[in-house]
Amino acid sequence: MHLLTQGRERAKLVNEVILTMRFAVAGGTLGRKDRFIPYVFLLPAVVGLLMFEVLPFFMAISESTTPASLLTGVRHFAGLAVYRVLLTDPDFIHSILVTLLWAVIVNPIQVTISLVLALAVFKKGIGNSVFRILYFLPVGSSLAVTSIIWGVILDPNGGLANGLLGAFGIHSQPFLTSPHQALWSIVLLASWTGCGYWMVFFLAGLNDIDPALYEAASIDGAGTTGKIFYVTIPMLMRMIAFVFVSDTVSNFLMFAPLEILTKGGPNGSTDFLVYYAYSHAFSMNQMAIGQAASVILLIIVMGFVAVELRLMRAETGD
Amino acid sequence: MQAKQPETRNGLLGLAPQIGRSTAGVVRVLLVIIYALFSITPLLWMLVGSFSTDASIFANSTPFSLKAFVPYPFTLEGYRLLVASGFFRALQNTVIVTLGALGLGLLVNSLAGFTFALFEFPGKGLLFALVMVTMALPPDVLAIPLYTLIYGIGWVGQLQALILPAVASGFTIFLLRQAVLGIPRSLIDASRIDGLGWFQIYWRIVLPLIGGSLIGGGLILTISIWQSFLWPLLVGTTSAAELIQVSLAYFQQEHTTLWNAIFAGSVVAVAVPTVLLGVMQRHFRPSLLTSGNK
Repeated sequence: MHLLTQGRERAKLVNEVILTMRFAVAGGTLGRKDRFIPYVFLLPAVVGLLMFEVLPFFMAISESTTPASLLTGVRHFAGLAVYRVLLTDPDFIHSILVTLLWAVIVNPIQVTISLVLALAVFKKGIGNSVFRILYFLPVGSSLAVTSIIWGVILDPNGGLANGLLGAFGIHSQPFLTSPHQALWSIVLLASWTGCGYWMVFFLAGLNDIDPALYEAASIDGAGTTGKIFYVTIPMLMRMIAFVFVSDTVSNFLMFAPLEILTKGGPNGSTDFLVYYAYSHAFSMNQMAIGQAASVILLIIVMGFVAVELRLMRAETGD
Repeated sequence: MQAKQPETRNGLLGLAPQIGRSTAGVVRVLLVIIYALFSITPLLWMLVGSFSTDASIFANSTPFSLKAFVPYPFTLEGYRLLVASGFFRALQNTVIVTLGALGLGLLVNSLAGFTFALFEFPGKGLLFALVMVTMALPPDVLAIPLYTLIYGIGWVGQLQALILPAVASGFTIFLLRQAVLGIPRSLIDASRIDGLGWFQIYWRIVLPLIGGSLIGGGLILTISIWQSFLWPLLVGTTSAAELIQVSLAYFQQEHTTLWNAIFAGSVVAVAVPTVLLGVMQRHFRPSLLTSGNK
């Protein structure tokens, strides 16, 4: 009796499963009983994404179009007035130009160095695996800690950098305290952690290249350099593009070295967009301006992210 | 003419065959060593400095002396100053926030990934678009807009302001969905026939099978929270919610000359991600970040 009901229930379930599968194949929905399951399972994730990623975007737009009056503190709708103020602020234009200069300098440098590093230590061997670890080691150091350590290294009075330059007979340099060297100093410290990180992506890309291609290139008479330019680089093109775009996105948001070391200076030479938004929203008490700058930053980053997603889709075939 | 050397033989160091074969080989070896020095020197100097006196760090760096890399006279003064400064309160907060966000994040995102991989339902396309749009957005780009919201609900200075926004992650959902898609459908159907409910299938069948991706995704999540700076700077404004990176930055700004203590704090902050990456090296696959399905 017991076995019989079990068998019957089993048959019922099989039926239900077949029905469900038929629905699934037809692109339909789940069985009546399970209809709400997907929504229940998705609820916490979707609420989280909507609340902490989508809602803030709209709040920033609303905040930047309804600034609070400095005198009364009352909010009123002002349309794009804040954006007009922003776009006529020479400091903001300067900040955009400095951010662009930063992007144009730091990204090609980091992509090139990490690619060269990957090519240099890719081959198997104990020596190369030791170097791979040494290059990756700084990745454990956050940008905040990196800024702190390099702040001491680049200290104009008594830092290690000037000590080493002195050992080679080179004069002391001002580094972060000079308007001409501060940006380059940040390129240096950001690349210290960045290059090892991106190198790992290139190592993975190199690993995916079919060795037969190199053999074919050898037969055609290509030397080491020839193989790099006719096999490696073309086969790595998509990974290079991916790293370039991702690196650009993360460098656009470079913040810790500015807050910890330069405060956007000297003379605004490191006043990148994120720092402009942050300092207006929090130090200068101009929340509407800070939010408007954040919206502009977000739109720029979204553009890069769209490119990034295209590259990822090309890879998954999704 | 010498016979061509087989490509697979790389000699003792992997570098050895190149030496003496061509100037390009020599340049390559020099470059590899110089970059290794650049990579390792700051870490070594920090580690040694954390066990040295301020006077000896300063004296050995300018004019430079190799003694800069020897912790002599050896002292734990840096770490003592750090303990006295309340740094370990921040360390404790950071551990709580990281574990909280990690546990909740893996649960919430794997459940969502599971759902996107196995179910068809009205509105799926729209909800998945939400995942795709948010997955590549770095959290910092939303920090200032999000601050207004968190301020509005009165969470500034409280731990939940650091944990909850980090939980739902488009990137982790996508990653885990790819992992679930790799499980044979017949296994899920067989579990259904055996009478398991959908939550049971998720908990008992699917989660154990996507362990590798859970560890990989969890590693990336852990390191990104541990290393975050801008968001904790904005909302972790009380001692109950101050995180390690911010605490260290404050310490550095208040005590610019206490180099050994600054280094000691840096050593602690760097040690955790470095050890995690070292131990779980094989789970840190770039494919997690580029496509999520290899």
